[in-house]
Amino acid sequence: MTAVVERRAASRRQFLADIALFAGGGTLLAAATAAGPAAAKVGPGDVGYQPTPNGKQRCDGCTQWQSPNACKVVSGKISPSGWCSIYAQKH
Amino acid sequence: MIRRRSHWLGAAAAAGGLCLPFAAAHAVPSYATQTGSPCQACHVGGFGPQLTPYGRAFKLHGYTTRSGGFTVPISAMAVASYIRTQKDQESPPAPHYGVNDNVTIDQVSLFVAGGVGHVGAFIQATYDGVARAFHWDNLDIRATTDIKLAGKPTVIGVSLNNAPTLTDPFNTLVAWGYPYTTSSVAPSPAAAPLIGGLAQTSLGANAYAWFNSQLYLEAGGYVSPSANFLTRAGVDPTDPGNINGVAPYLRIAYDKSWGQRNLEVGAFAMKADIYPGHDESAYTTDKYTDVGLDASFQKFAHNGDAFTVNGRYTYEDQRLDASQALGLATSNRLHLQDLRVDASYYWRNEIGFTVQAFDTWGPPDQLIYAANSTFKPASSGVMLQVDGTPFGAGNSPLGKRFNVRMGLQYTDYFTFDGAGSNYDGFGRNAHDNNTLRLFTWVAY
Repeated sequence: MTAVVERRAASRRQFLADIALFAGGGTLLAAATAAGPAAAKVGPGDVGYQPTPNGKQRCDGCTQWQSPNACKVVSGKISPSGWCSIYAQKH
Repeated sequence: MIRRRSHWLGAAAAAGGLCLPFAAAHAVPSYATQTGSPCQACHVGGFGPQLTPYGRAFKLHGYTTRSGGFTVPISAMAVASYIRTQKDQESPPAPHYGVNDNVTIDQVSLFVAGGVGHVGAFIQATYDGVARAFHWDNLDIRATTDIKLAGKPTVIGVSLNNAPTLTDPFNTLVAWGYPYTTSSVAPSPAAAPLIGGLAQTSLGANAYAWFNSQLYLEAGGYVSPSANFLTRAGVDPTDPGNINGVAPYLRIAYDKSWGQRNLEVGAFAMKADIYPGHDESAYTTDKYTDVGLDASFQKFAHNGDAFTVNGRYTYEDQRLDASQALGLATSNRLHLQDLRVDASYYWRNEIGFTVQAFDTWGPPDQLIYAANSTFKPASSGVMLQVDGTPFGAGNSPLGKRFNVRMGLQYTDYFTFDGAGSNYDGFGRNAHDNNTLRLFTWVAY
């Protein structure tokens, strides 16, 4: 009988430990979420951005282009005649 | 995906010295929908998981980069194979399969993969078609933000995840290293460093900083969820065992891009005290310390061609007090070393050629490696792969989300579980395990 009680107690402790693990992780994530403006755009260096075109491929012909001088996913001022490695032609 | 051995070495596996690397196999079109970029923007060769610099930036930003409004953060993936070994295996590698020429549905996975604001996730659940069972797979939930540090752009973030090195942005460490897909019915060497063996049996909280797109620092700690939880999650809590306390993990990498080139050098470390096989009756633990170095180089051409090299060396110090007390190890002081290097060339993001050399070695132990005639853990060889990815540019007639990779792998073993010839004491040679694998990998 004692063994059964001990097993149930151990099971409860394990369950509570699992809950604590996920709750702790969730709290960590929530705390980080509370700070600063929304993240998102990557840096020009992360996409091999260059201010010159690659043949006929230019930033202003890309699906990510935002006129007059921005990109939806790359931060900073972007030249319409620039180019980067994630260029995808606008259809 | 968790890879299970076809010929399990019970006591040795319980000792923890034989820990299985798990094979990464991931491609997540919901990220492509979210970013508005095709698969090849984030992945070398137009298919996961080898990351381009943009893919690494996306991951380190917590999967949150987005080009438009709401997108459904759900993806699916399946892998199927035909596997032939040079000589029939000694016994069927799994129930319902033969000793050779097996056709398998290796896995079918469902992903919750997407991010918004500061929070993103990569959550995978898998049906293992060989084991015919479901299990939780990779879990990586992140929160990140951009700050300025010393005037330089810096990404900081935290991750809740379930595998050491799963958080890493490079394809050098075990979670995301080559080969990116394997079959569990193919023979595979038994011995591997512990750091890859804790995948899906641990839970970690990590914090990281990525300074000026150059310096990457990460620190975290891993614990073992309860055996009851892991069993319900579809994984074996005794493989390799439960962590006593917290297993710390550290990572540093320097990453430099110039033009369309990229070079990374780094180091990693993890220390874990393990009750082997979840057996605490010895009142002591096995103590593993894994330290390693890694490096990668990438060169991209404007026409879509890419050349990459990834390398990793791991040294594992093993103090096997628990295993020795439990009669699972002869010596309580061993080590294991592991070196692997792969190089790939992708033509136009469509056709890829990859070669990898791998070597694992260490001193003998008559109990841990009892099934090996030399009692040594040594395994070495090369793996060759050619693959085709026709729709990495988002040009599939089945829609932008559909992507497929078809490939042929050939693994040539020079040594296997301790020797080149008669490695098992019953006349089987390493070359007998040479494996030809034809695979199809579909993602949507």
